[in-house]
Amino acid sequence: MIRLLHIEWIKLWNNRWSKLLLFGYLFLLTSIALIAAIRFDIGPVKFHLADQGIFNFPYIWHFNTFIAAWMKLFLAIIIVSMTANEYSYKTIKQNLIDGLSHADFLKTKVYMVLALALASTLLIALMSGILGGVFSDYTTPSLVFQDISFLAAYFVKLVTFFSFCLFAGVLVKRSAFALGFIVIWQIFEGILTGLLYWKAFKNDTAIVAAETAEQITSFFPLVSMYSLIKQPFTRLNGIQTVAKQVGETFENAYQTTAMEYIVALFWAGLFIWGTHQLLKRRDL
Amino acid sequence: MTHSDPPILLSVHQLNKRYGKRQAVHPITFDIKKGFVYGLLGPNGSGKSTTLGMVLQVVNPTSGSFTWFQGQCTPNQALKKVGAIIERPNFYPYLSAYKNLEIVCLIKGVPLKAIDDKLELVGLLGRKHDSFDKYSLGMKQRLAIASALLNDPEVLILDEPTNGLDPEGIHQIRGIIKKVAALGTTIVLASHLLDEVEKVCDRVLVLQEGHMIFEGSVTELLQEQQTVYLESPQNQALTTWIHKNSAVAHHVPEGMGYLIQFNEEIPTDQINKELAENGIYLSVLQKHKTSLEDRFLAMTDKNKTHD
Repeated sequence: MIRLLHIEWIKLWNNRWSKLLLFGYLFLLTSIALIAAIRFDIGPVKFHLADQGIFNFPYIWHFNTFIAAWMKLFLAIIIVSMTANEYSYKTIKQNLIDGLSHADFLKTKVYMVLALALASTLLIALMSGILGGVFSDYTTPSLVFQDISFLAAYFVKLVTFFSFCLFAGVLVKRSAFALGFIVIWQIFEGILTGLLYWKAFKNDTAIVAAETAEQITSFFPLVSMYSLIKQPFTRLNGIQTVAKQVGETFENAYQTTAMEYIVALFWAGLFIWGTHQLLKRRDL
Repeated sequence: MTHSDPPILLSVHQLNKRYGKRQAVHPITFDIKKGFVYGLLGPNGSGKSTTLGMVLQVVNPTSGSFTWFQGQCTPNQALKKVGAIIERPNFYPYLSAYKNLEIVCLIKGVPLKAIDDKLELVGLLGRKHDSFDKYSLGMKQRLAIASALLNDPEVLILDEPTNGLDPEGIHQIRGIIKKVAALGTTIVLASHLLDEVEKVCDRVLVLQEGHMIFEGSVTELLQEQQTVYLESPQNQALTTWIHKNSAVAHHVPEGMGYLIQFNEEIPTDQINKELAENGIYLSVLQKHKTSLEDRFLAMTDKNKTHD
């Protein structure tokens, strides 16, 4: 395993663009901490974002993983291009001729996916821990660790998305087109979701229809990844207060359910399996 | 020469490949034995690269089988004992020569100290930290050879190693191949450059349109037929004689006379005598050393008319 990771590491670390994207990602991820510095002092109005409770335990786990997940696109570009380049440089052919098996080649890529997802998760854990430690109003251990499962959801979310990227890279073989494929897939899922809601509304009352459509779309790959970490904003005290004032309550369940994990992991497995099939069956 | 047969390193049995409707390689069977330099000949598109691709596991065979090292190790382990370059050098363009070879070492399980040795052998040691995309084609090809030699392979497979190179590059590559062959490494050299094969190979396999049309030693191939150049003032009579003579396999007009290939070895004095008896007096009688090129063209030509 170390040997295969080492191979992938040489390919990745010595690539100028990959390195640039990695540092860019690192910078953006740590810049979440800069939110703490946001403050408006306009005369009597003093607004300090860090005081609004976004860095409170256990909420911070939810907030940070949700925000950080958007930046996974940087790592996704690295994964797609590192995979597709193996085809455009024909180095996959040479790797196989040199005696790397199809399975081992796949493993180098999967290990890269796991390593990047793990590194990102650890970084976000460390950052949330520090930010929480500095700004949180509550520091009782039971509260600190209450929602730490969001880290697991974050990890699974990254692994699933990166597996999708891996599959796209191998399937399409050209990095730009593979990224295009991912975008098109996103649009495709969007259209399908829209159609489902529209169809359901024709037959049912609004609430039932939305529930049915939601149940079906939760099995879509990208939706399944997205729903691992639900939006955290309606959980904020400030927003809850505002909502109450206008007579609205949010009853969202924020936790990730077992079913959501299973669906996402199923897709991750399917993408990796599909990648292996492509590798095995294709003539180079 | 020992009396026992040299061990078989690669055994191919009825291996074939079909791409959709096109049969790229018809079932072929051959063995690669230790210590020989094999030439795999054939025009472009004759199935050379597909055949090599199959035994190197980058092309899935339609059917048939092959065994490396008499089945003593798994196919992937076997490839770690083989060195191969296919068509053109495939490396990571942004990596230095050294880093590229480091990846190969990790794949093959070879200690890193082999890198400098092989780079020196191909004359690239001084530029080992330059990135691959800054290399000229000749240097890229030499790097590919260094890469294929990293593990001191039992079999070295080279597919068109001099393709696209300038004369100096070709000369360098040939020198390296000869050096490696002298060490006793078994080599399979695929090429459509016939003099290249003639210069370095002991045995040849000839492919045409996916069929194997010849397998044997180079001397066998060249001796099979003998070429003689004949010129006579009685040109008309000579032409008639050639046409009705069953020993003539092939003839082409050349200059004032004919270049003739006989089916069997006939001494030149015998030819002279027979023609004189027929009232044809020769002004020129010249034995031609058959080049592999003549032989190859005759062979592929003959096969085409049979199809």
